[in-house]
Amino acid sequence: MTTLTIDNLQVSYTVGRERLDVVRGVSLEIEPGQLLAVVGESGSGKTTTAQAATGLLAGNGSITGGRVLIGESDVSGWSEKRFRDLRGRSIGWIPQDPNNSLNPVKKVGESVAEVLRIHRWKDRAARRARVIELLDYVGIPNPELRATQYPHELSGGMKQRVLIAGAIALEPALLIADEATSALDVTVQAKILDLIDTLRRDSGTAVLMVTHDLAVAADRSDRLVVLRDGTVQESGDTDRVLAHPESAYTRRLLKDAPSFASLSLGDSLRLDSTPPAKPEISRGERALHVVEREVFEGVSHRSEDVDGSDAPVVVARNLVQDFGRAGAPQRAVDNVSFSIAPGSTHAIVGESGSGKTTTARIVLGFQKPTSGTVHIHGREITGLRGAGLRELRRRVQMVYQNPFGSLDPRQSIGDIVTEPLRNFGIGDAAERRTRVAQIIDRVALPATVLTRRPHELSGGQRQRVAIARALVPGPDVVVLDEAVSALDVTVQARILELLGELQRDLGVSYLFISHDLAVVRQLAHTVSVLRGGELVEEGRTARVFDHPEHEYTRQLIAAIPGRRAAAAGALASA
Amino acid sequence: MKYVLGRLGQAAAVLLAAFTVAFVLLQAMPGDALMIKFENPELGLSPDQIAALRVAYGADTPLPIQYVHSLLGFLGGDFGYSIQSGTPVKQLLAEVVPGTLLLASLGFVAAVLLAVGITILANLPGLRRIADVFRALPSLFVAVPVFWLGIVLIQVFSFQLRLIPVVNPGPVEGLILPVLTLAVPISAPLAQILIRSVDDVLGYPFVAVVRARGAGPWWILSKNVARNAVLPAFTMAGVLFGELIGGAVVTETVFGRAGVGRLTEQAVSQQDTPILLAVVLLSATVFVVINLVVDLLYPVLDPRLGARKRGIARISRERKVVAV
Repeated sequence: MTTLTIDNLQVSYTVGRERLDVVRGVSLEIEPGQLLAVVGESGSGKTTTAQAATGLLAGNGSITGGRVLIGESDVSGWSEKRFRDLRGRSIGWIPQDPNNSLNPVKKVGESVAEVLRIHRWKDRAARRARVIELLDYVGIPNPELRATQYPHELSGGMKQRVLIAGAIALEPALLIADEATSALDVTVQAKILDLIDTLRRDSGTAVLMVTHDLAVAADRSDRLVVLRDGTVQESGDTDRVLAHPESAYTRRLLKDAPSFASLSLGDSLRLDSTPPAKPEISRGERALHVVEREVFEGVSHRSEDVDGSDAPVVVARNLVQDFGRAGAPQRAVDNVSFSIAPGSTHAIVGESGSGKTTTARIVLGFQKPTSGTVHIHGREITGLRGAGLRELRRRVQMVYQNPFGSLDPRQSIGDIVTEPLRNFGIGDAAERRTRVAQIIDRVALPATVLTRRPHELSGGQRQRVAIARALVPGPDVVVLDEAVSALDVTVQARILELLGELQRDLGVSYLFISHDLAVVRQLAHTVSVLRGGELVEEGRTARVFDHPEHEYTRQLIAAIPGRRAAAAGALASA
Repeated sequence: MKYVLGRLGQAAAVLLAAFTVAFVLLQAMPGDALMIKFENPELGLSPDQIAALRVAYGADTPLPIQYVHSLLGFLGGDFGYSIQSGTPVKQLLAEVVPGTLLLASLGFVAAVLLAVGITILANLPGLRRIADVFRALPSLFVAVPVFWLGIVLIQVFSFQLRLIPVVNPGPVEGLILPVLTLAVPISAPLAQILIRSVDDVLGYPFVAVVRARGAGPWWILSKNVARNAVLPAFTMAGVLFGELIGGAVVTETVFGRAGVGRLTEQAVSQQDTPILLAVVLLSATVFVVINLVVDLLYPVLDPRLGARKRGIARISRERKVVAV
């Protein structure tokens, strides 16, 4: 018996007086024990489709056509009251963000027990036993103790396990995982996905996975449905879709997803595979050798040894950062060193709490390290003040993760990009206009955006504005803090291309902070892997990824999703 | 434990500051109780006699000595004597405090009930159509002056409906209208905060999770939203005690009830400094104690505790100085 059937579903939202058709004829079927992944970028209608299946559409949304069958009953016309009995009992739901999805003032055991209470498990002892059994099943060590703790005492991965325990408490036939692992670190993500796999093997639960991450979907699903603008672009067995994608959109998604691109590149790193047509590249290469000699072979670099232009732009040595009280400090960064060659990209990768952002803040001069030094173009910058600090700000610019929060909503794009020039007193009004127009053109935005405001632009366009703003004062180093993590894959791919082009043309260096190893592999020349504030491994990106020396690096790389797709892609192209 | 001791120390410091500020301000006022009492022309006292009286009352002692003297007196539980009547202030207070305490606690309880009631009505799924009416109520309540409300309530319930006698009401009947008068303006900010924090909490992802497990709106509201939404209102409740003191002055005057408010009102018009000083310190003490209790209870209600709590404690302390 098919667990969930969605047949030509149509959903629309009413906004003001307008009717927005968000889902326009989506069909899919899930059999028991199957995992079907609905993949799409933001606005594709993937979440709305899942919500419609549980009757949890937002107040202004309604099903305007088609049918939804849970088992054999058509639920599309059901009242809220009837749906309530279904939710939790027949359909389990795993939410996106484990950190905000548990009641903060409830013990986690009570949160799990709540679904039992809602569905009238009167016996307290039976509830308790079931909760412990569930927590144990989802892999929470010492469940009796954990059940009595509050959410803030648990890690993100642990919280997601608790949420899964709640979702499967009544052994529903269908589990909906709405971006259930997107907010987690890659190693934790892999474990949670394994847990979901175990679950469907053990109890034949069908899983509807909603995700923007094609790599995750490809690795774990039996069937794939690719959505775009509320319509199905492609649908079929995962192996078939990966090997022979029928729609152009699917092909583009596969091409743009960083893990496929980098994994299928195999040994050939982008830098090496790009023909050294431009002098900047060979210069970058030469400089890299200098840096490598210094950093990896312990050869002390002296400026008279080499051409000054090849000296590393950034040299960070033995950085240590403590937070908290002097008596019991928390060490966020523990003896981290790295250098960045001119015109190259150095990536700092690590999971949450690895100290990567703190390291970036030290380089930016936002944070004075407890000990250690940072030299930019040979000048010590830790502890700079006043004019020196201002000059540092001009030479080291930053692009933030969230393109929605990092642009002043009240300023026009023109004003936003001109602001650094005004702040640093660069040029007169006419000259500033020319420079801003040039840089806007450089980041491939039309000149018409200058008069617009941030809310009129898409996420990708905004990130281009943020890049233009960082580049306009002519910095030597741009710190990119998760700068592409919030973007859809196709947009992300374009931004990564742009960053590469700008580096080749302008010779700017990047310090790339990211948790996403697939993206790092694509963009970075050298990489430092951090864990718990300590430097685990460093070196050329190709070497670190292909021949990781440290066990942790191996774990990280093994956890990158997208292997199956890469393999299928290789088969297809062979 | 260290935290509790620290908070107690802070409380003591606040009380000392309140005493000092009150003392200085009362001395800085032009005129004093002796002038009001003895310079009345009907008494026909000569300037010499008045000067002699001032010496007798100790009004010519230098201010710092007076300050130390009163402070030591207060520490020893001696609040001095009323200048107007000569009665010990302690005795005056002992007569009126129980009445006011009853009025204030009942007013406060009524305010909380009113605020919670409005919040529930504003969020009840069956009443969605008229929810906006309840959402508008707190704004109306906060705009109503206490004295006006008291007069209107007397007009309606006593004179027109004749439900509650104005003259010699029974002990219970006599409390109904004053409690209501006191409760309405205090319930308003509480209800505003409650309604807003319920809205906030309803938007949290964990509410969506509970809903996806089959919970109905009432379950979500009572078993998940309530405790989270109460947290900000709880701290506000401590702060609102200041309003209660101010409200009691007006309410007791309007309804002619003996109480701390009434005593204060008379003492102010006669500039009876010892009484005023004692009243200020009494209300400051109650205020500090309530805020202390709120602060200490906070970790019990919110297992996360953290910086938020201390931030709010600071606000309430600033607010306290304003109230004095």
